[in-house]
Amino acid sequence: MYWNSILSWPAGEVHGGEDLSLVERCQAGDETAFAALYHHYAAYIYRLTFSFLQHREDAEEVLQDTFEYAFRRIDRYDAQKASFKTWLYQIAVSRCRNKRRRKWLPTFPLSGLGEGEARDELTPLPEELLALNNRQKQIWQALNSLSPKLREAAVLRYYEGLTYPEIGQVLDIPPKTAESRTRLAHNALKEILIKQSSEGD
Amino acid sequence: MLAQQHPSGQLSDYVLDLLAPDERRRVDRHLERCAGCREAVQQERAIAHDVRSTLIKATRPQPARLAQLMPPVPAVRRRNRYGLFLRPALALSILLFLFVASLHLYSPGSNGMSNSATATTLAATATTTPTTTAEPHDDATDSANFVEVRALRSAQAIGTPVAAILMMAQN
Repeated sequence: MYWNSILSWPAGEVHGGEDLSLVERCQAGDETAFAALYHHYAAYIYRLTFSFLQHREDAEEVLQDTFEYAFRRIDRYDAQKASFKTWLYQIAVSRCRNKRRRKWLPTFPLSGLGEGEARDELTPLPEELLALNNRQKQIWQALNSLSPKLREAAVLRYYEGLTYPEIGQVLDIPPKTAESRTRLAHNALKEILIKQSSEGD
Repeated sequence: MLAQQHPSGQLSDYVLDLLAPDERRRVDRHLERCAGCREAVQQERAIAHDVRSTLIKATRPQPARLAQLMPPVPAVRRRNRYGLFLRPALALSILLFLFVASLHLYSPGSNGMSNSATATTLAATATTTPTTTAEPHDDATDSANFVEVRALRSAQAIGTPVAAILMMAQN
């Protein structure tokens, strides 16, 4: 029954009050509340981590890691500081960054030092992405070619529909920085897509 | 005249909702009368729309797979606002009970042992000294063996709850 809401995601939004009640039940040791919380948020976090990492296995690993940590530290969640969703997003973002760092460090060439922020290695389209149309494949590749910082801002703004203060809270940056990253991401995507279109013609 | 007023540099910010209210109103007024800028705005909006639709399609989760990925639920200690007070109080009560029980058990009037320290010493001796030997035994030996065995049992009986209390205190 929980999975019906995931299939229709992102239409179903969990209400803050319901969240809090679930969290309180988790903090009191109610095992069914943990399962309910997972079922409410697993799809959100999976989509977020997959969008950030653009790699299915990595996204699944980070999803598991995020909930494992959240379950263990549920006592430390403070509803006064952030909504539960924001708290969960913060954990997921931090784990995505760790994942990327671990993958990136062993393969980083010394010649790349000083050339600004490293970009993710361009990965071939996963099997499930073959169903995308040409325009969507171009978008996916364009997102992949953005730096991780810009991709994070773009995904949180376009996809999650977060406000700039919310993006700032999730990424642990000031709202003004969130605004400028989103602007840079938008302009970069526009440039890449125009270039791709002109090459295609 | 109109060309000079095209807010081309502001259209991205307009779409991203980054303009101040007065600037936004100015762009709105311009868009009402400029088809070219309206089209440019549509193209800017298409980027956001396409990114969203792409991600929705590309990152669709498989419900069965998500269910498999749920981590185990940790053993969460139930919160009890009296817990901080009750735990030491319970440990203290058990200790007090054991102390009173040991006084009663090893009082001079109850067959021998005078204190638990002696009981522990004898218990240690009892573990290394066989109580059933081929030596000739008499009443005095039987009595000593009886005391040793009883001391060993008492030490074990006391030792288990004490160990439990120590574990509770550590936790």
